[in-house]
Amino acid sequence: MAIQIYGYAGSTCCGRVLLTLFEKNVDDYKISHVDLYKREHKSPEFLKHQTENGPIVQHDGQRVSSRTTMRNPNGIGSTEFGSAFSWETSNSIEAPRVIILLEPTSLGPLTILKPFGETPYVIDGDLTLFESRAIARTYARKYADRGTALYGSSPQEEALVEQWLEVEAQHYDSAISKIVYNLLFYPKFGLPCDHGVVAEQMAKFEAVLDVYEKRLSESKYLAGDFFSLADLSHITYTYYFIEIAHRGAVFDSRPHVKAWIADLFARPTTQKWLKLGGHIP
Amino acid sequence: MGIEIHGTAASTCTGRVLLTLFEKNVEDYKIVQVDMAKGEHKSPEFLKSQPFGQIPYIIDGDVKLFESRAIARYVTKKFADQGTPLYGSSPKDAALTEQWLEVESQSYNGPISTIVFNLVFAPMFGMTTDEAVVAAQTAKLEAVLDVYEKRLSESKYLAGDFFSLADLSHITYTHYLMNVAQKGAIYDSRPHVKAWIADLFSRPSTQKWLKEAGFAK
Repeated sequence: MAIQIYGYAGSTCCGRVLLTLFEKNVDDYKISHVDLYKREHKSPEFLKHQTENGPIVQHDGQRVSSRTTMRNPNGIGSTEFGSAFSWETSNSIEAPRVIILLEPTSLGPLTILKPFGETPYVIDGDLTLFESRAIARTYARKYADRGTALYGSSPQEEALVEQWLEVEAQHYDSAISKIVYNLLFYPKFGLPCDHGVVAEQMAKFEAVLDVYEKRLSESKYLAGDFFSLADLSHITYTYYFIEIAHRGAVFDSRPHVKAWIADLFARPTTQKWLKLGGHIP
Repeated sequence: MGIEIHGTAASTCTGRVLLTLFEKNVEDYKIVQVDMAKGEHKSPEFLKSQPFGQIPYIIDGDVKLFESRAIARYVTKKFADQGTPLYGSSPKDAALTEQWLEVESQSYNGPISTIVFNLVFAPMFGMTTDEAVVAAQTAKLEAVLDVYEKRLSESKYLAGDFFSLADLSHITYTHYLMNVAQKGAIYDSRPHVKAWIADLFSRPSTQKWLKEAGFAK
């Protein structure tokens, strides 16, 4: 039975899950696109005020009031936007619609941390799982016997993979996600980009990259001379940072980091994600 | 030769590692004190072992490791056959443990560590407490705790009806917020969260950490 992934294939966190499945040669998955209806200068707040002339809002084929809002049942991170929303497209990618889901739904709990780049969740048999790194770890272990050895080949290597996966989560992601959200995602919702935060986080990011530069001068990949889940976990946000936010210059003065990134992007699995996610044709 | 932990027992992250060792009935460990007051963690020598200048790191034979959650996972796996089954008893249990460990890391830790830094550590180092930041982070923490309240009304612990590494990972910072910064009211208004915390703090391993850290006799 296929793994059901609810998310937006091109998003950073859904990408982390997809890359893991690709590295493990897992093809038995299905993506239910959770996408956003985007209109210029519109933020989630607009859904509170929109008129009946606004986007079509439906649930289970029934049109519901566009003023209907509900609290995201897993409401993590909802405070930034007042109330939290769930969005889903119809299955037609040409005509994405905003659907406000009434709880409970047949889709189970939807977790949205931020409006774009939603954390995916997966349903795999009787397991419903969210948090992209938890999902990635679970599949890296479940399919340990196939595909790329994402945890290396010994307990020592596995420990180092977990260490650098934590470094990614605690140090790298903390800075890069704030930069990417401010530069790319908030403006899409009519929210202001906080340039002060961008500057502050860029300085932190550069300090983290200095650590990476030293590490990658000693070792081809983060956990050792093998590509692992730790390296993989960096790919999607780094892609957004370089290719969409155009901030790649910070890597030019760090040749080992730059070469490592080039290597990560050259992987067939990365290319497969870029195509599937609509970033490259 | 046991596990050598470079850090200090009272620290939140060193505590996370110690709690894991205690749950696994590991006694063969040694704490090598890092003198934070003297800035030892920022010395060139220390940075060779932990490049971000943070505690703890461990040395276990030829394994050298930093990041407390990575160390906790390593200890849990190495001693899988003894002590508390911190990943539960099935692949599904393990997956849910990882999920809630990520929630702790991504959603709980950010707000609580910022609040604790401002209220407890900043004054210790002669730095100012940023009240606006405390207020903003408290609002975030409240939203997270609403999610926890709902989850814990369905399930005794976060990953299911078993105590796991995910629950454990919350203990040390929660102690600092509740008992050192005296801001436990945030938990009191949420009965399932409150009961969960009381349970976590009644565990012998938590009591052992509080003693070793100098918070209890």
